[in-house]
Amino acid sequence: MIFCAAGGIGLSGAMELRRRPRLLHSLADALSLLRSDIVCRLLPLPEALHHVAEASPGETGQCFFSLAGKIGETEASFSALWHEAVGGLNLPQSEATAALLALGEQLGRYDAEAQARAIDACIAALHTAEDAARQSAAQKGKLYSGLGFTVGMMLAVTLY
Amino acid sequence: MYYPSDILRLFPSGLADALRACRADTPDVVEEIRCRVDRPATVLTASGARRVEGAVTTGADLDALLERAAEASLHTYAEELRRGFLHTSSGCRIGICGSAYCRDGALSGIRQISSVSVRIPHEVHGCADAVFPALTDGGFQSTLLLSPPGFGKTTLLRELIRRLSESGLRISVADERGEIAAVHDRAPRFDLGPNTDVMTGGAKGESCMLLLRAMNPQLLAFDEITAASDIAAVEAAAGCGVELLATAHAENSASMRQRALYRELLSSGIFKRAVWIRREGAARRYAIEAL
Repeated sequence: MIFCAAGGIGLSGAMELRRRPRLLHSLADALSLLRSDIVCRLLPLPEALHHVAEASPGETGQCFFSLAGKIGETEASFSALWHEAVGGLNLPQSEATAALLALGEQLGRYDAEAQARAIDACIAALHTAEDAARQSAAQKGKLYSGLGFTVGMMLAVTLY
Repeated sequence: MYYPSDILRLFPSGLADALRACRADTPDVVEEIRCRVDRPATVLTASGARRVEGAVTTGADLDALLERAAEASLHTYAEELRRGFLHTSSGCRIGICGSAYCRDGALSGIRQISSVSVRIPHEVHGCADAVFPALTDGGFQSTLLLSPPGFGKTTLLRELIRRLSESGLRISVADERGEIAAVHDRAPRFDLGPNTDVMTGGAKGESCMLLLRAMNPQLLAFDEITAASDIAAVEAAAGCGVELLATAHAENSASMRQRALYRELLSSGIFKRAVWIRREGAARRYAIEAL
């Protein structure tokens, strides 16, 4: 049981490492679509976020869908809602997370071109982080699961 | 006092509570709410203006109001904001005042908002009963609705569109400011009848020509003829053989004819009738004049 539990912890760490690049990639795709909706169609953010949510998979879609529904429904400003939504993605502290949070101060506040520049900068940061996360997953993924099972076996042997 | 639909949701909670608290003592419908920094809000009804005690407006209140009105999407409303107002999805016109900033010599926007006026639209079914039979006697002819601001031109326009649409006329509406139909999620919030197509936003002239080409209307309706480009749109549309229904600001015939813009409009002979709107307390009185 100890062997399985420790192995499970190792596997979940490895899965988390694989989740990050996928999430960062889908966030970059979502922001790219959001950019088009803002620049080309001048869509209001609730409508644009709904559109992005419909086109985005998994937790990215849920995040944007929930954010769109909250605009105008609470006392909170859009930037506060954006911060809350980004916080809900459980991304580690990084330049990409900082770029995402900073984007919340720009969206909806300036003209379309200024927002497009901010989105481009954020997408670039997300792609950089995605590359790093992919490398990290490749390097550390097997290590985490292997380490988990090894530690589990050692503990089991020691306790036995 | 009575606030239609979901107007109070636009306001931050402190202001909304104060507005809600002063609504119980009179049955008047609120026509406009004004908020000025460091002062209590004022509410305009048919019986006059009154202060809303209990909450002094702050700059943060006005910023929050604007963010809600614009659905946190100033890029969508940038063009309107450059002209000093924006329209909410509920059809309210929010006028803003503050420090204007310029770029390349032209007014580019307004920052540090210091005053906001929220004009609340109304749908009054039956308000055209007094004039509808006379306007449709022998077939509807191009008609201009005239009065000073705040007398109910748009309300009458909306009701006439609805009645004419129900009578079977195919109507296109160039709703430049979104006040006539208040389209939200593709559907008008106000009932404009079963045979009405609405083009929201866009300059009147361009929208009129587009509607003429695309929707083949029998009647073209729009709000507020205020500029030479509007007259050009009127002339172009009239040349295509459709009837027109529009509004314009004017106090009386004499003052109207003093303005070069309206002299040109009247001399064109496009509009056959005018409906003058007068205000007697909360009631409106209408007078039809052949032009």
